Formats: sequence, C-alpha cells, structure tokens
Amino acid sequence: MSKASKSNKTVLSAEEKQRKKRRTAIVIKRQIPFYILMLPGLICLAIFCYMPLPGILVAFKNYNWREGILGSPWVDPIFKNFEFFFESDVAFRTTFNTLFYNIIQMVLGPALAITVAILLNEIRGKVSASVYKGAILLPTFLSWVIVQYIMYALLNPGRGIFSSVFGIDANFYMEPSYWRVIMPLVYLWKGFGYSSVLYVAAISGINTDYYEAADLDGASRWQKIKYITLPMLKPTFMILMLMSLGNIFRGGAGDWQGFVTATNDSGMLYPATDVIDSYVYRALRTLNDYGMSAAASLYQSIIGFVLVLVTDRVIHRIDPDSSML
Amino acid sequence: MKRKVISLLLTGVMTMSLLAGCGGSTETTTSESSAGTEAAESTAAAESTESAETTDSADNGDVVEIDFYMSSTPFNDQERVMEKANAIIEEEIGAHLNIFPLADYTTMQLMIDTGDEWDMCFTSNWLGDYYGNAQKGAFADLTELLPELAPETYNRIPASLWEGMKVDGKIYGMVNYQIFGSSKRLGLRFREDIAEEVGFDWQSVKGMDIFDALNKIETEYLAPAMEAHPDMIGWEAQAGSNLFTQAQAAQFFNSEYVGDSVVGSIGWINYDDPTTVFNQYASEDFMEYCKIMRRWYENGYIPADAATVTDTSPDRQAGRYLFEVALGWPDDIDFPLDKAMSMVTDINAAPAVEVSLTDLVMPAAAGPTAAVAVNSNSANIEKCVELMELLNTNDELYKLICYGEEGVDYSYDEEGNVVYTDGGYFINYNDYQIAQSYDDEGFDRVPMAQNDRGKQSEEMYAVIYEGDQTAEASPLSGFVFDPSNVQTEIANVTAVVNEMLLPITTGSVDPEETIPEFLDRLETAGASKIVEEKQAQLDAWLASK
Repeated sequence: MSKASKSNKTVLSAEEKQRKKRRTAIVIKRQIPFYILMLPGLICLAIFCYMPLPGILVAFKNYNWREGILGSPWVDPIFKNFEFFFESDVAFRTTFNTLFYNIIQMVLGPALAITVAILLNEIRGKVSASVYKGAILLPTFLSWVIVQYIMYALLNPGRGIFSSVFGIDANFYMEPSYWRVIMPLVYLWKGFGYSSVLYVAAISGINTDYYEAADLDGASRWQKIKYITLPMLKPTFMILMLMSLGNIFRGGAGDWQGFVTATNDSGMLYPATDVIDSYVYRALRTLNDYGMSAAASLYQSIIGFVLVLVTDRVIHRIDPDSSML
Repeated sequence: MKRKVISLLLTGVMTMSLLAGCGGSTETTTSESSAGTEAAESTAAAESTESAETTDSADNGDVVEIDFYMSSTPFNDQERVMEKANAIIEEEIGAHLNIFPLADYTTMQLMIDTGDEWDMCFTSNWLGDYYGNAQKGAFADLTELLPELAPETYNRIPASLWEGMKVDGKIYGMVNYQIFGSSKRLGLRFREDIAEEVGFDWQSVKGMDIFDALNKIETEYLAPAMEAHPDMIGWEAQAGSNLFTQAQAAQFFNSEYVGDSVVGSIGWINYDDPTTVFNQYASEDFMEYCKIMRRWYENGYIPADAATVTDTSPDRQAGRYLFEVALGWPDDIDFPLDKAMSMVTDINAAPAVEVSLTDLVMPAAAGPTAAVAVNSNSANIEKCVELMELLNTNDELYKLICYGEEGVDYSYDEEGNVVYTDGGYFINYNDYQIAQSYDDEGFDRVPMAQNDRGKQSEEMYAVIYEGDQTAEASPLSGFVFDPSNVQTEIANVTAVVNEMLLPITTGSVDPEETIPEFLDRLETAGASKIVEEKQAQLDAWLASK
C-alpha cells in the first residue's frame, strides 16, 4: 500500500517536473530581451571581477613575473605571505583603526545622508534644490590630493587659517588625538553627498498616493516622514549597509587614500590614522613583494565576504524582505 | 532575478574554494587543483608568447627603436632637442632613442615587475633597486658585451667601480661615471656671506668629529645667524641633511651601510671594525645626534613642520638654508672655488663655502650610484650597449641631450659664465642619469665657464679623478646582500622606520622617550634578524675571499 502510493507520487512529480520545465522555458524565452539588456553589465563583471580571480594565487606564491602567476614557486610554509601582517606589532592597531573609522562611518554616514535627502526632498524650488544637490555632491569628486591641500591650508601650524585667523595654536600634524575627529569629519564631508543622492532617488520613487492619503488624514510633515518616508527607505538602507559591511576591513571602506594623503603621511599620526591598507601600502611599496600585498588584500576580502553573507542571513531571519539573497 | 544573484555569488564561492584548495596542496599539485587553474594557465601562456613576439619585431626595421626610462619631471622642449640628437644617433649606429622621464620612479619598478616593454633604464642602489633587479634577472648580463662593444665606457673609469657593480660576479649595468667623482669625503656647506657676518670661522671645523662640529656650529654660527635672519632655516633635518636617511652620511660616523641603503635599511659596519654588523639606531651616535636635533628644533633652527614637509626643494631654491651636508670634495680650504648652496642657480644669491670632515673613501656602493641597465628581455641588448658607448664618447650628442643647444638653451655671458635660458630645454639636473660626464681627454662634456673659474673647475676635477684612483676602497666592496630570507622582517622594519624616524631625526619628539620605544618596535619587527642575516652573509663572503 505504502509502496504503491510512493511510486504514484514519483510518477506525479515526474509529470510535474516536465510541466515546470516547459514553464521555465517559456519564462526564459519571454525574458530574453532583459537578458540582453543585462549582457553588457555581466560582461564587465566577468572581465573586471572574475577574470582576475586566479590572481589570488599570488598570495600563496613567491611571485616573479618571469615565471608568471602559475610558474612562480609556492611559498613554504604556504601561509608565509600572511605572516608579515600578523607578526607586525601594528596588526592590532591598524585593525582597530580600520574598524573604528568604518563603524563611525556606517552609523553617521547613512544618518546624515538620509536627513539631508529628506530635507532636499522638502525643498520645492527646482533651481535651489539642484544647487544644493550639486554643492553637496562636489566634495565626492575632489581628489584626495586637493583635499590634502585644502586641509593643509586650514591646519598648517603658523601659516594655516586655523592658527593665523582663529588663533588656534595646535600642531595638528603631530598630535594623533585630533585626527580621531578630523578623519571621520573629512570622510563624512567627502562621502555623504553621494549617498544622499541615492536616497533622494529612492524617496522620489515612493508612490505619492501614500502622501496624498496621509494628507487627507491630516498627517503633519513630521508624521509623513516618520510613518511613510523612513519605512520606505529601509530596503535601500539595508542594501547600502550590507555593501559597506563588506568593506569594513578596508580602510575608509575601500577609499583608503585619504588616510595617507589627508594626513600628509605624517609618521606621528599613524597611531590614530594608520589603517590596514595604508600600512600594507607603506610597508610593501618599496619592497615590490607582490605575494605579501596580495595576501593582505585576500585576508580583507575574505573577512568582508563572510561578514556580508552572515549579516544577510541574520537580516533574513529578522525580516526576509530586506535581505539580498 | 534573485536566483541569478545567488548563482553568481555561488560561482564566486566555488572559485574561491577551488583556489583555496590549490593553496593547501603544496607538494602534491594534483589533477584536481590543476583542472581549476588550467584556464588561467592558458591565458598566462598566451600573454607571454604575445609579449615575446612584440619585442622581437623591433629588429626587422632599418632603425632600431630604443626606449630609455629615467627619473625626472618632464623636460621642456624635449621634441626639438631629441630630433637633433636622433639625427646623430641614426647616422652613427642606426638607432632611434626615445627618452621617457618618469616623475614617479616606482612606475619603473612596476614596468620591470610586470614584464613591460622597455630597453634601457636608469638604475642605482638608491633609486631603481639595482641589486634587487639584477638578482631577479630583470637586467641583462653585460660582463662580456661591455669590453667588446663599449671599450671606452669600460676602460675609462676605475676598475673598483666595476667591482662594485658585480652581482654574483657579473655586471648588470653601465656606470655613469661623473666628473665629480665616486670616492667620498663628506663635509658641511655654509652660507659664506652669513658666516662672515656673524664672524664664524668655518675653516676651523675641518676634519673635526661630527658631534664636535655640530656643537661648535650651533653656538658660533647657528645661534647668531638665526637671530640675525629669523626667516632662514638652520638645517634641513628631514631630507638632504638628515644624517640617518642620507645614505652616504653614514661616513660621518666612520661607518657604512651593509648591502642596501634605502630608507628602512638596518645594519652598518664601522671602518674600525669592518666585520661586525650593527643596528645603527641602537648606537650611541644615533641618540647623541637626535638630542642635538631636538635642541635645534626647540630653538627653532629646525622648522616645526619639518617632520611632515618632505619636499624641501622650494626652500632650497629660495636659498633659505643656513648650512647643509656637502657630499662633494675637495673643500674650499684645499681648493677654493666660488659656489652656491644646493639648488641655487645664482651664485650671488646664496654664496657658499664647503669644508671636509671625513677621510677619502671609495664606498662599496660607489659603482651603482648612477648606472644604466638594459632589459634582459630586450631584443636589442647589443644596440643598447652601442648606444651607451656612443653617448659616452660623442661629446656633441651628450651635451645636446643633457644641456640642449648652445646659444638656444644655454649660452655664455660676457664674463664667460654659463647661463641657462629661461624656459629652454632643461633636464632638471638629471644629466648623471644619461651617461658619463667624465672624458679622459679633458672636460668638454659639461658646459664649463669660459674664464678663470672654469679653468679652476677643470683643475679641481682633475684632482678628484686622481683621488678616485687612489682612494681607499671600502672593506665591503663587492659584497651584495640577498634579502630574500628576511623579506617579512624588512617589510615590517621599513614600516616602523617610515613611521618613527622622521619625527625623531627632526627633533619633533623627545629622543630620550621615543628612541627606546623605536628600538622596541624595531626589535618586534625583526631588526635583529636582519642584522644576523647580514652578518651571516658577510661572514660567508669574507670567508670566500
């Protein structure tokens, strides 16, 4: 009896499978135009993100270009290239700094960006709105070298604006503690414009019916923001958050040059400004040891990758709609 | 859509784990791992054959293109001068020379490491990593080609310099021997006018111990001079006059770097005990020097931002330094000659006098102080050597490339002094990277003042050449350090030195507090391992001699 029903089930499911297969074939056929639209992006992804992947091998090799990536001898022991970072006395310091600045960035960045996005959205004048948007976005496109000189003009002891105009007599480039505040400020100033533009786009995507309904119910501006705009921004916020989490072990969330240039690369500031990337850059730039550089980068990538996956699973548990996978 | 993302990510994970699998099996690189890497292998192979083909093709044409890379900011008017220069080169040896000045010379190292196409490049032990690249096999072996194809280049200069170029007994670069010589006798350079103004007897420091000299200068020269000229800078503590980053300055302490002398190198020997390697930062000399710098910093002789402003050329050009390290000799006691402070073109703006403190030594690193290497993968290695011989023997060509056209880019004023035309062709004082400026038939290769001063210079250069022939060779001549066993330690030590050395040597921090911390961190980073490794290699080298 039980045997019969079992076989019956398998027959059924086989049929169902066939039907399902046909259905997917139809769906795929219908979606061909979309796949074609996706193609350029996929090709770029393949070329820039997947083709260089075998380069990861360099992290385990004593690389020299003559024999190439595959021909170069393996290092012995196999994790020797990783030793350099973990054996250094600054492994803790740089990891701490990296996390310190990135966490500040992850908390304050979106808060500032969302606030500004909502404010921008409330501006009714078209011209003034675009002027503000442009002004906020401008620092994002300044190169770090320009930022370095702007800061130097402000902070230079004796000749800088802070000391000559405001009479603040501090040698900023020699006192690390100031930079615990300066660096987050600079990164916020440089980065929030970009993400607030993303949020502005997300806000303009919200169906206006909600707001009209709220108006009818007599909701105040603040109530509309609190009960409509903010909840609707949650998916955008989550995705941006997950993406920045993947970069949490990278100095300045991947844009680490600021820690080298904005500080004038002053050795005395390293206790507060040295992040993993700037340390690796400084230690290996003159050595041309590609194995060790690749190892440091692989370590950061793997941790970032694992963190993204784990967080996404956690988010999925709490709120399935907001997770990416 | 969501599913697509998942599958893409999964592929990513799989690729990662596959590659990690490769990593795990060192000895047994079995079929499973090779399957994963096959694709990459074929692309790599394709790439290498491609590059080989393109380098070969150059030989077919009548005129051989030779690409020469050097470290410099771009030249003014390069096209005009190179066109004239190439007319000569094409006629003489059938080659066409392209000079590429690189503002950031790390680009050259990247080109070397990635197997890019280049034919010749400037190299040295302080810029361009001569020893490292020679050991890696990036440079062509010229030991046999040199005497055959470039006899003048080879025979003109002291044999001890070629000895210093040897890596495992082979020569990988052509020395750009300069008229200002290779043997070293270090000294100090003062502002002549200011020394006179404050009544400082600069001649009195001749041959003095460096610390006695610095202390004497502080009270008799720096203090009154800084009072009279508060806008001047006492001492360029961060760069050229930093006795612990300026490689040659070790001689002030009767010492020399062992093997390498880039920033971050650990390990000196003392000439009195040339078989023992020691950590120079743990020496008493370092502490004493830094204490003096600290005093000068607190007195304002060293500017407050010295540790962070590392480009000192604007201050040098403005003639703001009161005194600095002089790497040249003979000094103004043995051979008085009008000169200016470094990077000052107008002698009257900042007249200078020099006085020597040390003995005359031919350092081990004298050979690769300035040299030209040939790419071991170049299709035209022999042509490159011929070109160097031409540059070293054809005075007209050398002068054209280094100084431009006479009457257009430089000329002689009524007094016979050399005047460079504003905005004319100018290679930013990098003539030493191009070729030898020495010529045993006289000193025609450098535009010399056509007056008494010019004659004086020639006499001085003759003295220097004589000195090079007789200078005592360093006990380390011919020793090459192979850093491969201590790469990890060198990386970490370099990072520590980069972080802490400038604040300490500019006096920005208290040395009594910071130096012990610096030494602790150097120790953790592996400084003593490097010293031991150098000692072991030096012992082996001494034993084999």
